[in-house]
Amino acid sequence: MTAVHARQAAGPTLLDGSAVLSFRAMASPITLTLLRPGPDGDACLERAAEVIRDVERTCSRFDAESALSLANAEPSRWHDVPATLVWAVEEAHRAYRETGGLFDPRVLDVLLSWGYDRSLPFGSGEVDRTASSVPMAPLPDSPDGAFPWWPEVAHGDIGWRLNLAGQPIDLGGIGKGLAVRWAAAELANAGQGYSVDAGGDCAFGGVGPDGDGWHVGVEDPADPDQLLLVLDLIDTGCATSSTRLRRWRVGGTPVHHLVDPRTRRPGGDGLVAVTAVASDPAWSEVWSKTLFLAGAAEIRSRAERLELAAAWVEEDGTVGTTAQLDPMVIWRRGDV
Amino acid sequence: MADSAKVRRRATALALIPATAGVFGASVAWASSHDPFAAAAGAAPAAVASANPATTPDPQPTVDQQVSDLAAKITQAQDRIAQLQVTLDAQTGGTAAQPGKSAAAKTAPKSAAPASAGAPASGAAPAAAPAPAAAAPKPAPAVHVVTKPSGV
Repeated sequence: MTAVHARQAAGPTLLDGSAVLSFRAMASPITLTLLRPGPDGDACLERAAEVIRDVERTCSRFDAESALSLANAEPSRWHDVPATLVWAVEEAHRAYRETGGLFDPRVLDVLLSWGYDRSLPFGSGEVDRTASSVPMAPLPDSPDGAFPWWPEVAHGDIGWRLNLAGQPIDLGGIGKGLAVRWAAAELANAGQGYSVDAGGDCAFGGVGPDGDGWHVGVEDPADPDQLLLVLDLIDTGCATSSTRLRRWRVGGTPVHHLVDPRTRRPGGDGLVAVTAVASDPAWSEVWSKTLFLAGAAEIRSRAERLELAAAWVEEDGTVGTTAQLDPMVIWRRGDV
Repeated sequence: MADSAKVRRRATALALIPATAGVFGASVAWASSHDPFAAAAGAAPAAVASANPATTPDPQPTVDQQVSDLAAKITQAQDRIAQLQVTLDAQTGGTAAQPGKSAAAKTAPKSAAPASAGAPASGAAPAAAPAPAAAAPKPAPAVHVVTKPSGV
């Protein structure tokens, strides 16, 4: 097995026959690994990195000049936007439809009202915010509880146009998943395999450095230095949604970033983390987030009904897995 | 003349007595040597054993030896099973004997694997069997990537 220890580098680093490119984007460390690269390996790695940086530039809500921020500032009118943002909004809308509204990027107003209006130093300790001036949006007042979202896109003579249908959105999670998807596409034929690791959102191509799959550890949210599971993955994506990091207090009340659009409150009662494995990294992110919102009481039934490969960690440390994931588990810590 | 005939008949009768006894004794000996239950009872008939040992080897002693060997092997296997059960129970913290408990189920803390867990099922663990040490948790294999919450 080849251990990958990439260092921060301006260009790809050759390590044990693999080309590795590491950098930081989307508030996460990014590592791109290309196994036994072909002659265009370095160029493909650079293109993959540029894809990720483009998503960050376009879809970040923390950059006031990003296309998303400009569209969010006036969500009821049409904007000329890059294709990247159009594709991201279309994919987010597809996720919204296919999850019955459980994946809803419009929870941005809730996050803003809790003071999450900028990158917060979650990794440096406890974050305490006072409520911002953005008020908590009221629950939708419709008979069936539905709150339809119909963003509009159009392609004109000068490019793509977007109308967010009146509400700002947060593309953070699915944006990173899409960045991983598109970066993986750049690496797909550049070597004998690849991995794209964007801090929890991952994609893997081929059978790994040693031919027996990519060995992927699932972090213990109670102790980041420990693993709970090790998975053996081939040609797939995976993502983890967790409240270990992005949780803070608002006026003394604990909140986290995984907002349930049905209640507009922190979701996932009884859960700490969910990992989902799906062929597409963006949908791994969608499933991990929406499974988290099911909470400890419902996650197994929901995951099994959808036939998802998933693992979750409850507040008391209990680890659950679905039958679809079990064949991928090559190691499980003895006490879970 | 009559007395003479009478004496001859008596002499003949007396002479027939040992011959008859000999025939009877030979019949008893033959029957004993061919008794099908004699082997099951573990009795080795002396008459057969001494009949012609050089040309007719008796299979009975060989069968007995095989039975004895097999019985010894069964005993050894039972002892070995008992030893293995002790070791297995120690390694699994006593859960190996709970078929209804799945691997995915929540288990006892990793420090809860007692050395004395898992009494052998047969109670025949030999005194010389080494005391099973607390099972060390299997370390995680090396990984290429760790999936974790983003935002660090």
